[in-house]
Amino acid sequence: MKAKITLIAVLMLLSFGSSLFGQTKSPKENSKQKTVLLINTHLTYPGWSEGKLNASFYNVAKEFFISKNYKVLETKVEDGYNTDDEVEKHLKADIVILQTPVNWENAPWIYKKYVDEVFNSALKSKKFLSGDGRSEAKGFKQYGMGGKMQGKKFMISATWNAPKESFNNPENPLWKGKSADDALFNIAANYLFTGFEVVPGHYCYDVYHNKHIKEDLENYPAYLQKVFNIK
Amino acid sequence: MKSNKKVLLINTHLNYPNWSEGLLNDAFHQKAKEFFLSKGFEVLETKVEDGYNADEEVEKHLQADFIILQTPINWFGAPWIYKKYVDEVFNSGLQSAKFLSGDGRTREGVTKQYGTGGKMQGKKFMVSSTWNAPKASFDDPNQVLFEGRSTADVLIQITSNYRFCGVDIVPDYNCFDIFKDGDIVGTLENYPKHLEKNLI
Repeated sequence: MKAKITLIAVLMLLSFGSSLFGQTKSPKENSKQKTVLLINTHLTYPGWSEGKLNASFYNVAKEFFISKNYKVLETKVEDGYNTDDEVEKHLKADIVILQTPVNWENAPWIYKKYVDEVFNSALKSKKFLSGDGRSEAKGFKQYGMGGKMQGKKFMISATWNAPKESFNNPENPLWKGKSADDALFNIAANYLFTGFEVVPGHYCYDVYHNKHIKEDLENYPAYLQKVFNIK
Repeated sequence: MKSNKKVLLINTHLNYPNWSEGLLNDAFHQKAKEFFLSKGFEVLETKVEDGYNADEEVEKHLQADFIILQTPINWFGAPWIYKKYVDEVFNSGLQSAKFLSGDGRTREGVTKQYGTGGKMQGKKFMVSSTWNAPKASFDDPNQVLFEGRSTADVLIQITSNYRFCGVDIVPDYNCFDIFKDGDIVGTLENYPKHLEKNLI
């Protein structure tokens, strides 16, 4: 027990020390400024899905966070990225938001490529996690508790062909009572695994028949303000 | 013994040299292949990493009675090459209306449910996957990551596409904890029994 407390104390000192080093570069007046990483992973299908709707939600979020004095980091997956830069952007961000269309019940394939590359990089460098959370001494910790990203929050903003009524509805033959968050759990799981808190997603449903797109866009800032508890 | 049935075996392992070379997924793929050959099935095969033609994959799906996906779990899903395969093959099957006629909703909007527009009724789909996650992390509300979810709950990202097209989903088969304490030999040995029970 005593050894454990000493270990925790050492770890706290280490993290305190490294955060001091980290702050020496940033100007004092920005020390309280928070950072959000906005990832847009729409994939263009010319003449079918050009990405205007996802860009609209993305820009609403961007304007919202700028108005709240956040530093905004951006990634448009389709335009290319450097894997190690993406790791660093995740480390800097207090909030990460994924803007995605739902193609075949999930994000476009370019997003999974992004995840495999970025999270593999951070696994090898141990920047996102120390391991899968199971310690050598069995039973001490659970699978999925090896993350290092505690205190950060992740959210999905998605556009669906699926209508809202198809979710949380045991009568629906496809989802069988599951929620939209359940359908996208694989995306949230990576962030949970690395220690993020995942907040409920913001969803625009039934985009090909939707009469509520305008309202969904209008209501998005209020949703962000509430779900992230921003003043 | 000759059957007139066909199975499509898709192996979507992605090679990471010196880290994940695909031997385990290949072993499960071969086990399934031997099993179906022994039952007189015609076996269609796709190794996603080696390349494919999307329209041909649509035809293989149309011919197959059973479709089995063999996949490692990378970051809580199949490797990215699999989602690329799905987006390409299912987009082709959507545009040609070969997999589905639509999303199932009629113009009136009320008579039919979303997800009932599939044309692949009578076919069966199964996932066989290899996990770093231990078995104990599933189906247990006290586990922090999955919070009681089953493997099927995590794999809904994959099975939902087949269900959307009318295909029945049979219980998945999983080899857990492959880097540490998993019973790889036993899981491999028992695989034919799972196939027999759920598909034959």
